[in-house]
Amino acid sequence: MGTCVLEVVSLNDSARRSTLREPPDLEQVFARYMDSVYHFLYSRLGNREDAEDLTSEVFLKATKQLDSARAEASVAQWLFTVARTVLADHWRRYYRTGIIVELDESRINEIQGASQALEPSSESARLVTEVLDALPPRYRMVLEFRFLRSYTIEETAQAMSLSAGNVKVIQHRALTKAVELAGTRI
Amino acid sequence: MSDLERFDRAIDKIVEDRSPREDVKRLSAEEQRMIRMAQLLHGTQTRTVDPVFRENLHSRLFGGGRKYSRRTAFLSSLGTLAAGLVAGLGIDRAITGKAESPHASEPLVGKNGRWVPVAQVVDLPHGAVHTFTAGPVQGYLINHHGQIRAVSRICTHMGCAVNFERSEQHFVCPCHGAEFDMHGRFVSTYRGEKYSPALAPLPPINVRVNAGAVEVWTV
Repeated sequence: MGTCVLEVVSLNDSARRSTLREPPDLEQVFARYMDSVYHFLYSRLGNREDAEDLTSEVFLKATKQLDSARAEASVAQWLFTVARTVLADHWRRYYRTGIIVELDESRINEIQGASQALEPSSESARLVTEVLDALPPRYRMVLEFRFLRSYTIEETAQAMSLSAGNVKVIQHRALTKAVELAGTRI
Repeated sequence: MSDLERFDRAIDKIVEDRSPREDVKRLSAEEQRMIRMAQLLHGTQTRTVDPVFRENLHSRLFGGGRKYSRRTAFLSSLGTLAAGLVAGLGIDRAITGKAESPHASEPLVGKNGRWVPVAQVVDLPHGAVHTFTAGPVQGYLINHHGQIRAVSRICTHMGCAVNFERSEQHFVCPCHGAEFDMHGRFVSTYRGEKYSPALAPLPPINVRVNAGAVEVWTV
């Protein structure tokens, strides 16, 4: 915590020297944008553990990059840039796909727009809807039960009158097909 | 552990809202893309930010402040979770659209209600399902994976009171055999009669935890 304070002081010094914009008050930024950042990350990562870890990382990074905030057109835009970098690092670190996704690129308005709404990012929701719509009904149903409603394999099997083994097979095929449909966007 | 088991485990973790990252590392690029697709799909669910996480990150960033313990926050966040769950229905519906039954599942009681205690939190451990009556409202309190929620007990077919069948983890209507899952959603398989169109879900009832008591919103 001590280092944070020192850093802010030194940034304020440099802010005095540059007659441009003041760096944003990070506590206000946190209060205003934390939900948006979390929801943006959750919409990509799809689980709470990763979303929490990366949200923390975004704000920890942000405290160290207050200076660059002044160069950005808006605080939201700056914060989004940080979030995007953190997300890219995560994909690089754990997935061999490296940089992914048009989806993560050039979505600068998303955080700004989402600041008042608790919506998942519209961009990823659109992709999901498009992919689901293009799938055969049974594939689609399994994905809906599993990932949109968090049913277990057994619950899904019961709801669809299938065996658990069947559900697993369909789930695997459905995901393969979904990836194919998403093409370069994922 | 085989790659297939690792893949399945990563998928299960996503469904359980946990991170698949440790399992993902050793999968093929193609499997990793499938995992990412699963993450995108699961990412469309609306989740409220855990108040414990918010508080702790805040004090980590700005110092000071009290740290929430999981325990105290568990009690205060139950209401939020339940509200988030109800709010989440909208998004779920927007995306699943066609597959969903046409009936809206708005909370049972509108604005003109009041909070009435119906149970103690300590009496509602994980997995518990209890009936309650509060004024004209009959319902079930459900603690499903630590989330407390409440649904109406009245079948949306003809109005009989549904029973909970523990072995099946379903609500079953004694009159025509309609079945509803732990979320109150109509289940498309049933031992009873055919329903066309599908039945509306059991309406959700707003619920919160207040000073150790579980309260429902009723008239």
